[in-house]
Amino acid sequence: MEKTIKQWLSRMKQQLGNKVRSMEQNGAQETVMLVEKTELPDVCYFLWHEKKGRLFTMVGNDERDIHGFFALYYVFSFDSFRHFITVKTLIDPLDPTFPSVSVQLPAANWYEREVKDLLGLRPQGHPDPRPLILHGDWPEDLHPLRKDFPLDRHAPRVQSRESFMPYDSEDVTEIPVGPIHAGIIEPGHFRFGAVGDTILHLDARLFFTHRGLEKANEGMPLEKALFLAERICGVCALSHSTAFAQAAERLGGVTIPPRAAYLRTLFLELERLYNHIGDVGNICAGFGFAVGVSQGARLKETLQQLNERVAGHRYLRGIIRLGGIRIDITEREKEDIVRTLSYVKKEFQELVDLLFSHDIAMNRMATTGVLSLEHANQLEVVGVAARASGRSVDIRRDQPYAAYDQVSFHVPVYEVGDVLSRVRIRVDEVLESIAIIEQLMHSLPSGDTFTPLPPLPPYRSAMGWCESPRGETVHWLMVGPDQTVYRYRVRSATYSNWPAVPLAVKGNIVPDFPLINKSFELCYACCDR
Amino acid sequence: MFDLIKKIWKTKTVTKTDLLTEAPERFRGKPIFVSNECTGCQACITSCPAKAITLVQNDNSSTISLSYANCIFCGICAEMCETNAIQITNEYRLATKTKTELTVTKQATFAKLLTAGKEV
Repeated sequence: MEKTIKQWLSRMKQQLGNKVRSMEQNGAQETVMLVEKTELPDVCYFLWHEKKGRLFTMVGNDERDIHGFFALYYVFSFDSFRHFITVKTLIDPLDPTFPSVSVQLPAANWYEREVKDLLGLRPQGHPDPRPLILHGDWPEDLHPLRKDFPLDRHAPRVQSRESFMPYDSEDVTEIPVGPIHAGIIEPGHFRFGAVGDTILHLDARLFFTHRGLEKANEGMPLEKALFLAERICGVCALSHSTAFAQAAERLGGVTIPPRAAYLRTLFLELERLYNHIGDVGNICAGFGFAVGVSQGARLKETLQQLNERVAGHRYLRGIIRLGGIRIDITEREKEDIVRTLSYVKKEFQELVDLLFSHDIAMNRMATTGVLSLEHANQLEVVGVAARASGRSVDIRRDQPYAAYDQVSFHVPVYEVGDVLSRVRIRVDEVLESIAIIEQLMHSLPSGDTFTPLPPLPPYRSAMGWCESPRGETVHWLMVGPDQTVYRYRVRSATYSNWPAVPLAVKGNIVPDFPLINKSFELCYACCDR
Repeated sequence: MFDLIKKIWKTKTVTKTDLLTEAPERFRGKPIFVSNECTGCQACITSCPAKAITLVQNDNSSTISLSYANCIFCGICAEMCETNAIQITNEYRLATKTKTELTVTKQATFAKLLTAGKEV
């Protein structure tokens, strides 16, 4: 395999010719290609379209105090080679523009708008000039992720530049919903253009909960940064902390002890379980099936109480440490997990049987909110939503971390892409997760649970990734010379999946929107950061 | 329909009445000062993410003070403390009649604290 990767890389270098200025390894799994910014669209399109790389994440960085330039990193994942290729380009501060990749590679849309808002690097030829992260009332010339923007600076509010899709026809009704909603959900403004009951177009305005976590993390010691990373989101807390810890460990060249890896896997699956079971229950609220909602909530509660007994926290916070794990389990906890899961498995099966044999429920879920495979591929959709549309991506299998290469599991894939497929994926994954935990219980190795981290090399980047219940989450980390965070970029599953929701909603009726939205189960806090 | 009623009958009402008992052993609740081993190294103070632990320095005595009003029960202080002078318990009943009762203090070992105090 080692040899084939080398051959594959040198072949790629030949094909790209003099478009690539230099190529170097960054750790065992990543190759960095430095290109001129004018070559950026060609090289990215080549990697995405010809070589079938997935756009994994994109990071903009203010590196002016290192070498005088801004830098952009487009990271592509090549799952069959278990390798990443990063296209890096430097941007002169005197000309802070770059040619946009988004026209050819639609998944880059949000990333490039984000870089424009937060770093002031303008993507030229980008089809959507509207602000994304910072709302229209933020001054256009203030870019908070630049190093010369002080953390405590208060920005004045200006006349809003927000705009939505204009409709010429009088037959189209505009329905604005949110950002404050009837239920206890997070803030998002949805503007439907509807003809009668049918949705013609949806503008989803997010980033109301942008807290500047990436900026706040800069200059923080790693332990505190881990603590903050864990608090990006409530329900994927463990996935975020694991991804951050993995990024730091990869930077330090540390392999965590096998027992720690197994325990991380165990808790990550427990996180998936309580999320998926709770989500299957919550879907029922989309069509008023109260028995399903209550049973889902009851089983979720059982699992959260298990989390509390085993890990000390219902949402599994505070158990990851850099280089390992903070808690260990004994025979008593093992028995508790096995006993609780066998109960949950039986009860969950009953809930699923009830749900799938309920005509009204099936009627509402089937053929509702279809996300086509073509759209899913173009937007690089991940997680449950991707697998329900026939896109087989699961970072646990594709680029294994923790102890996922030690267990065998099946990744369910459905073709239809409707609400029902997304529910079916969750149901199948619950059973897979329970099977994974059973395997872990049988083969849990003994030994240490922690390896100390050496001093980390400054101004080098590393990534940590994790399949959260919503899909893959990537943390990109660069450490400064004083062992504090220099730049930190979180790309959560929801960030990749939100742009797909308006496409899945199109053509459905307005009352189905809550159901479709729930079936994606996207979290705003992770996305907005 | 029959299945639904059977299921509801079997699980009874979903709201379960649990007796008010102790929280699980591993539950991270109230941190307490347990021994006189505090060396005044201030590791707990610097590591506390919620700034719930503070150093109160008077003319000739110094105390470490912990406020349960600010504490988020993460347990990092207990992990950092080398002498186990501060420990996490599973106590979750925190209500008090007055605000002042939410703050507990602990006298730190004097000699060591003075040196630590000067560095600050």
